[in-house]
Amino acid sequence: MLILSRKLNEEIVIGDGITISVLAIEGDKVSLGIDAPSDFKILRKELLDAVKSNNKQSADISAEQIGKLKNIFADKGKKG
Amino acid sequence: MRIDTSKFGVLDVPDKKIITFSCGILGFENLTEYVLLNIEETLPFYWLQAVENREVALSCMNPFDVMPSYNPEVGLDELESLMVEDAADLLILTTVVVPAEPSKATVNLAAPIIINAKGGRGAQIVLQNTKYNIRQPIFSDKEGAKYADIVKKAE
Repeated sequence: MLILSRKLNEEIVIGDGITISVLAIEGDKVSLGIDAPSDFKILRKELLDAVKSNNKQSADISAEQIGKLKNIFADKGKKG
Repeated sequence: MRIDTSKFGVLDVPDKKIITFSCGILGFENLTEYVLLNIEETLPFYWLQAVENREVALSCMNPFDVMPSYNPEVGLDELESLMVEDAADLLILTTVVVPAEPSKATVNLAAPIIINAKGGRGAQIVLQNTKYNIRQPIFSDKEGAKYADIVKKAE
């Protein structure tokens, strides 16, 4: 892994179209500005991890549990 | 094509119903082929069943059943990767998670599953800078309370 030290307002350029700037540093929090072409997807890593874990939970559901959910839906339909 | 599933046994599915997720699905990156099962007994819930692993079937539903105003922003380049010719061919699903207490079930509105049914392509799009929740309750607290009453009476 390449490790670079940057100070406030300094930047890093990646390839042809991506610039990352250090906009603010407060305690353990760093604000980064990222300029990149719109087809580059930029996501917080913890969101990806959360989706991954959520997907696994979604594949871990029995037809029986879904049956219970279905009943709630049916009940909702009747009364609403 | 015959597809073996742990939930519904062996099913005969037409080849054209196979949906390729070229990037896999987060958590199941090595599984790229799926079929969308709509099993009468479990509707309005669907199953995104992996063709190559009988154990993997993600439970899904129509996000608009939970939030009629749902309007995920999906990039044009992402739609291009699904080789969409007509927006009418698109199907949007959301994955469902059911905890021990089913009335607390949630859907993931932050990462919809988008399927080009005609072209047989699909992708889970993790939305960038989204206001939508990864664990959006399907039922409001009020509905959940109502269901808890029903369960108590049934017992």
